[in-house]
Amino acid sequence: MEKIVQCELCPNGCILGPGQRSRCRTRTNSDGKLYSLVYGRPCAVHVDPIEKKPFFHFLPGTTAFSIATAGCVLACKFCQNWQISQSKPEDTDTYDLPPAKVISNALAYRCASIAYTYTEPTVFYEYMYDTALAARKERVKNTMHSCGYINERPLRTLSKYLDAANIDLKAFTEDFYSNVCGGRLKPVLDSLVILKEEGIWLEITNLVIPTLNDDAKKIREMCRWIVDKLGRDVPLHFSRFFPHYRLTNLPPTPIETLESARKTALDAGVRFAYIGNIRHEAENTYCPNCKKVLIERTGYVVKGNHVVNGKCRYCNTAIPGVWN
Amino acid sequence: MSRRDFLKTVGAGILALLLSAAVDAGGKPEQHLTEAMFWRRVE
Ligand code: SF4
Ligand SMILES: [Zn+2]
Repeated sequence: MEKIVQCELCPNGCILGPGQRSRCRTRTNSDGKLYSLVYGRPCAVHVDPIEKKPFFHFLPGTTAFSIATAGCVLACKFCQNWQISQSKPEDTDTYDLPPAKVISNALAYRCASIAYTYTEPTVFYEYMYDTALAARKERVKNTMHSCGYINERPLRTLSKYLDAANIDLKAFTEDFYSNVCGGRLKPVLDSLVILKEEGIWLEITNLVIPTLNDDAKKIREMCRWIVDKLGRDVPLHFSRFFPHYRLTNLPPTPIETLESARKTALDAGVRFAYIGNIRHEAENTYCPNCKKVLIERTGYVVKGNHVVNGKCRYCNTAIPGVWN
Repeated sequence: MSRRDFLKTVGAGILALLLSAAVDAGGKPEQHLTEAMFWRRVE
């Protein structure tokens, strides 16, 4: 009998014969079993402000012990971390950091959370899952920044130990996902709905790329979908694109494009819309009722926080998020 | 401690350091296979 296996983690559904390597580069069929090659072997380990993920409504001003291994389920032409996301694990320098060591480091560095980030955490699912489980026992929170390209069963299984997710909604067309990322939009939308159902604190990032996904009509459609399916309280981050990797032919996103995307979001009913990757007053959190600045930020630095017990200090309006 | 013993001790120390650095920097990931959680056999 042929020892062929199929991975059921993400919608790519890799089918592998013995010795073959997966599309995400981190999985292999060895003698008829599927194995991860990256468990406990991160290639990126940093202590970051939680604002860098970005999470703006999740323990502001705290740090996240952030880890990633090589590999990704997608192949976005604009990837900011392509040196590791599009590499094989054996082509990166790795640390020997099993889950227990991640937790002890997170505690030693006084991080309120662990962030599974930089590349695509789905590719190091087993490592993330075991770490998240151990972190929960030590009361360290678990966050991930993901492209959301993951199947329902693994996502729901992980959700038991996940506290927050920032999902890249890269565009609102199937064409963009297939031509620019090598994936599909539908599974990402499904993941967003699942995370919401599971009660995970959710934020969304949309990198606005000139000519590729900056169509005002599509942005409006996306915002309406978010309000309709996820509600008005999911913070939406419009992030500025810079020429990178295989998209060096395009200019950085004009500020006006980001401002108009933000206005579209607010008009569609999104209560918290931000602009990122650039210094701008839309990095701040504003009270949706009295309009005062609630959390003042410059880049990743929180300069003032007027959310008290989850409410606006000035008018007592409840501000959605995880505040302590 | 004689000069020779001293050099031997220092040499062993450096070697141990190099070895531990090699462990930290990691060997080939193929040496660390962990069974995946979500997969199936294709009949
Ligand atoms: S996680 Fe990796 S191995 Fe599994 S289906 Fe996706 S790309 Fe293939
Ligand atoms: Zn207010």
